[in-house]
Amino acid sequence: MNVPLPRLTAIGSGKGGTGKTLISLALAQALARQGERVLLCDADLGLSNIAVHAGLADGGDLAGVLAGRCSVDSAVVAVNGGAAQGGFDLLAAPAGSGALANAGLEAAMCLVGLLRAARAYDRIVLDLSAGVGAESMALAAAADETIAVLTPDPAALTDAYAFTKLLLCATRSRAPEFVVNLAASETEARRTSDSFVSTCRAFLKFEPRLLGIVLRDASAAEAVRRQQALAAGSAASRAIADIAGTLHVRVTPQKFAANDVR
Amino acid sequence: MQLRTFLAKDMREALATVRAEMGDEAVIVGSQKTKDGGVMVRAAFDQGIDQVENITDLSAGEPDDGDAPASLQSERREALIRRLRGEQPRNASASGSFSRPELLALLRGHRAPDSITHDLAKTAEQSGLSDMTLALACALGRRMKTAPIDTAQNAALLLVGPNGAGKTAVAAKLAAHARLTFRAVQLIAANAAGAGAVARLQTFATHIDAPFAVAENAEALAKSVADCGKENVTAIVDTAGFDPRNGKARAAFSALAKIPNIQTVGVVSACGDAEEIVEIIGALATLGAGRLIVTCADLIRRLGTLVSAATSGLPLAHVTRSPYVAAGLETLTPLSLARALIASDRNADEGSAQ
Ligand SMILES: Nc1ncnc2c1ncn2[C@@H]1O[C@H](COP(=O)(O)OP(=O)(O)OP(=O)(O)O)[C@@H](O)[C@H]1O
Ligand SMILES: [Mg+2]
Repeated sequence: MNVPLPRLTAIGSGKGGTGKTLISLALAQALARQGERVLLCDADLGLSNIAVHAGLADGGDLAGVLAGRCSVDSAVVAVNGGAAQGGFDLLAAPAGSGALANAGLEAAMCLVGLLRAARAYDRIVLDLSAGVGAESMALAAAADETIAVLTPDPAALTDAYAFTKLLLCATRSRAPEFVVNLAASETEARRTSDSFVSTCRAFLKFEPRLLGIVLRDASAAEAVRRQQALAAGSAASRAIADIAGTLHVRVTPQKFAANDVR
Repeated sequence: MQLRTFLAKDMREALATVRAEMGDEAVIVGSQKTKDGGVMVRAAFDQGIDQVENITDLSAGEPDDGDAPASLQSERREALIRRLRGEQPRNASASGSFSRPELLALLRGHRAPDSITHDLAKTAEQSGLSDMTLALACALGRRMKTAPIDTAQNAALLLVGPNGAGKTAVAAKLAAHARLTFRAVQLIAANAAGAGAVARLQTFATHIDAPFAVAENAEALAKSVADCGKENVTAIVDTAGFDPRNGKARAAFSALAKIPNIQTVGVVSACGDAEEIVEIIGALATLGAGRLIVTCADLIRRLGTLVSAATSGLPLAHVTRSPYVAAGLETLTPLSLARALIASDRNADEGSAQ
């Protein structure tokens, strides 16, 4: 039987600065801790900055992969030991190079094809760029699951809604799940979530599912400033680990089924 | 989606206003009591997805027509996505003849501030031009000052603006622009612009082969700027974002703006509230900003913030439509803004219950 792995999980949001990169990084690490072999791919094809967030000098050679100069496995860099040793692999363009600025839609589709063929991984997390540009929407639509990152900012609501609507249109049926980030309190997060759900219900006739809440966490901001990983015990990292748990159980039965078929 | 905020004396009145202005289907997405005992209600309205039915499936990324050549396929896909985004092909015959009520409705549809809307409509009428686009362009031209940045001149450029306005990308674009004219540039990150921004700016500097420096304080910056001046190098200075309406933050910044031979350029995002952007630009002007760059113009469909920015009194240097460095700095003229306002009017208008 053909096991449909790797599973592509795209992290997007219409608005910039909602915490996509922070969540993608922590999610990749948390999924790796659950035992998945994870590749984190920086799909922000313009000014990519995952490597900077992760405090790495080098983020891999995504541009080379897209240009056909090298294979995915030779272009990744290992983070925390890499996918083979409890960490994860990272595939990004040189930080801030804008190397892929004009990569375009074809390149985005080509990337999806290459990633789908990367059987060394159970999961590929795609950190999408802000906005609802053609490339981001195509990547979101091509992924197996898409997570929109929402914040209490009203502009984030409008943008996450646009993201959801376009994704629904592109896939006809599959809408994103969502995470509320950067709320000051559980109450504010719930309020944000309720607004988003009721807007989608009213106009799109669909209820997006809340995957988790990541509160504003001073230590998270500090970690990014120092270019360090989120402290494992921090509130943000625990919240993201919970989200990883939810995502992880979705792939587990598939793996077992594949092993049982023998 | 339309998202609007209403102030009223009580909930009943607020709901009635929402219904009257946005229709019965509007959804309340937030409400709170105000200090003076009234209520503030935020409501959303959208057409839903009926308008984009009959869309081909994009999901698997499989070519939808095996026979068509690749370029055609990509063209189709692009057209599809444009449709998904609600953009319509430009229609040459879109510009009609001038009518004041229509112009008022158009500008309101774009959520331009009321004060500016009335002023523009009045001037447009007085112009006596019979074509809507030209009359609007003429009115905009009266209030708009355009002043593109000439990177060949010998002054440092200090970028200032709120968080998230995209100053680092603008710094990169300006540097690339200068390099294209064979001008020597130096990129400077002032005032601990944040680890991410510093690293991004630095990598970018390496790519265009420009020197990069970090200036920890105003004295260090003054020295770097003076050195650049002597060597005929254009210094482009990226700073940490802050809300310019905040007095304390302004005071902290003003030392930088006072450095000799430095030109302060305000950077604001077009994503926001059209009234608020006027306040922000006003605050930037008091900080010494001599002109303005507006970013994220690609992310908005209602162009009210552009109207605000263009008519704010602060000369408009550039508008950017993409975070990508390769996509450069555009110049907005009264005519191009008038065209954009009229061309996207149909889209912007669709959602509003007049
Ligand atoms: N839960 C949180 N608590 C505190 N700070 C946060 C949190 N999430 C994100 N941040 C901060 O918000 C900023 C933006 O985060 P991040 O870069 O992850 O956003 P993004 O959505 O990837 O942005 P972009 O659109 O530029 O790609 C960072 O400085 C980060 O430190
Ligand atoms: Mg990011």
